[in-house]
Amino acid sequence: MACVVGGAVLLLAGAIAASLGIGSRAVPWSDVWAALFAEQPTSTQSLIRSIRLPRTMAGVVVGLALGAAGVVSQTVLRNPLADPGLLGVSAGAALGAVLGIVVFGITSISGFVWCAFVGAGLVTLGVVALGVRTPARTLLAGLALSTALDAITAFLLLVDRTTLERFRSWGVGSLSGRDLETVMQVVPIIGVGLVTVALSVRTLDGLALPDDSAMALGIRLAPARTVLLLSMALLCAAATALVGPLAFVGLAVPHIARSIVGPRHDRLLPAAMVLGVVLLLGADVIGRVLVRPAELEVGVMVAIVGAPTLIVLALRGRPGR
Amino acid sequence: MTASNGPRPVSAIRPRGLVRLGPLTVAIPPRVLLVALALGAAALASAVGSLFVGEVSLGPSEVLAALSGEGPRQNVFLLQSVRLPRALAGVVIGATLGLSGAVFQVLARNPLASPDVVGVQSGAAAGAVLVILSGTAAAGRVSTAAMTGGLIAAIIVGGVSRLRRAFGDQELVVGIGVAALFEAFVAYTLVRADTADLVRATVWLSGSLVNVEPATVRAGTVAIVLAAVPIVVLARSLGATALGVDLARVLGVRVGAVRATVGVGAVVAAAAATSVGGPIPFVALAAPHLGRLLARSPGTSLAVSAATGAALLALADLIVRLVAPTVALPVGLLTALTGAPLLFVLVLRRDTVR
Repeated sequence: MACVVGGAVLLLAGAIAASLGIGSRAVPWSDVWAALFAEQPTSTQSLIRSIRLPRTMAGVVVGLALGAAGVVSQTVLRNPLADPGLLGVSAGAALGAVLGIVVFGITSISGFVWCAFVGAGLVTLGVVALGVRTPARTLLAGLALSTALDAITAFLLLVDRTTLERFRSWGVGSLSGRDLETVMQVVPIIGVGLVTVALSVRTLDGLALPDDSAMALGIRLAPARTVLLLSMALLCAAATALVGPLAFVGLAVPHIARSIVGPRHDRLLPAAMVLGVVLLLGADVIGRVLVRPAELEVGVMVAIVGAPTLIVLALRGRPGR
Repeated sequence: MTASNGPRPVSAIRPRGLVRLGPLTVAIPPRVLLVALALGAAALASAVGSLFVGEVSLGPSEVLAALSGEGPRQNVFLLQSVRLPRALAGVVIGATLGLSGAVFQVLARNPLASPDVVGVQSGAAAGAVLVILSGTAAAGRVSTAAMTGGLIAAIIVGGVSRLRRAFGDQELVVGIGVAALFEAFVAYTLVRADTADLVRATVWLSGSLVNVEPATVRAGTVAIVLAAVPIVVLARSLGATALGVDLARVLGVRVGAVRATVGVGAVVAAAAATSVGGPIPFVALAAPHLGRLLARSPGTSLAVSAATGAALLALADLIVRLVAPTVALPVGLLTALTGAPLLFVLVLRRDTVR
């Protein structure tokens, strides 16, 4: 156990350091370190502070959120294909962002973030208001809702080409261009979601069992599911609003984590959170280095890095769950 | 009150809905049969209706004359080379997506499964986008590339995970991974495309029957029919595998062979359908659920699902032609906008969803 925890801390620190230190311009490590604490930063140092630091923070926050949200959705909805965007959160966020462009003419990233968050929030409230009686029912209702919202988004994009132009960089998912202030605005929302999920670790273990066994353990199914799905939606909404739809992280990371630490949630949840950050920052760093001085979007890189890992681990014996 | 609530005597339980065809007797619940027939009729009616409407509306006599090759030449061309292939494509593609979606949900025992769990639509999208962005507009080449891409993705998933043995979570996870790689490729190329190509690719990617050509429809239909034969022949055995491997073996079903054959058939059919109409979303995923909820049957019926898919797509295409005859509105949007609210209502109304 100690060596797993140690490994996780090392991985996390390595990913954060790499994200701060490696980029399209080479900066010596001493400068990177100094940039974080200097009272009067040089131009290079302020560059790191204003560009790489927010980007890294965004990666950390979103990675933690999507890792946790993915575990919750797969366990509560009892489906290995359930990504946290399934309940309409991603679709709502995308529609919010597009409406922001079409109706309010928003061009700034922080404007996108709030429109997307409002869209995702409204959809979430809708799904929860309809009640979550059985996972199968929630799954289908969420599927229908996502599909309808995605269709409306696609329609708006088809009708309006300038919006399509502006939307596509958000639509593919990217960590760059978010300033520290915007990232910090999302942090409390994600904090609330993470604390709620962390306090429900034992409930999650119970919900993975058949309904009878879960009830025998004293879990009140409907309230437990509602609370967990709400916090999952909160995490996913904030993350999606900030960096665009990166649902693959939420889908892949729990499977990767499960094949390393097994199905117990007191291990799975932290492992998935750490791996979410590592995957996101790792993919982002590789995307910066691969086609220097241009960049590959993190949404593309996450799949290129994450998918083979997922496939290899899934085949390596210990089944997905 | 004298009404008894106890168990009925055995003699009182009569099997209902026996359909006799010569020496064959098949038990089909009346409601399932009714729903399948009604949906099939709705699909045909929508397809026939779509022959009359569009940019130019035609009367019954004009349509009939044009179909038999008489009347003004532009009418003959319009019906035989544009409207008839498109109407046919709607019914065939819809039925195929419904059928293969049902097959995958039975095989994987997962309500979220569709041909895309083995990457068919993602692979097809990658193939088509590659050709579109290289500047070739010919529908035939795009369609061939899409078919090839879809099959390559499915072969990778099948080869890597040896699907013949089982179709469990492990295989689903491999499928997710492969599909994600192809989708990443599409996203990567689209972000770098110029706007004209981007718009064309976006139209293809949202699924559209506007640009179907008689030749691709013909080729696609032949491939689909050939691929559907093993599925229809093995439908009963597939139903038995849904009872579990052990019980199916007891019933004399060779589970591994049945799964592999039916799975390959469903993949080829779905790839062919996607190559004609693009990756039309939602139909393969939703048709089995819509059909099951409408028929109130406990299990997934392949026939009902195929009829639902055909009705959904044909109706959506008819709406496209009625609402926006001059705008190239992708039919994928309409299948989502009609099917999704229906699914939503059905799910909320019925308390017992498996």
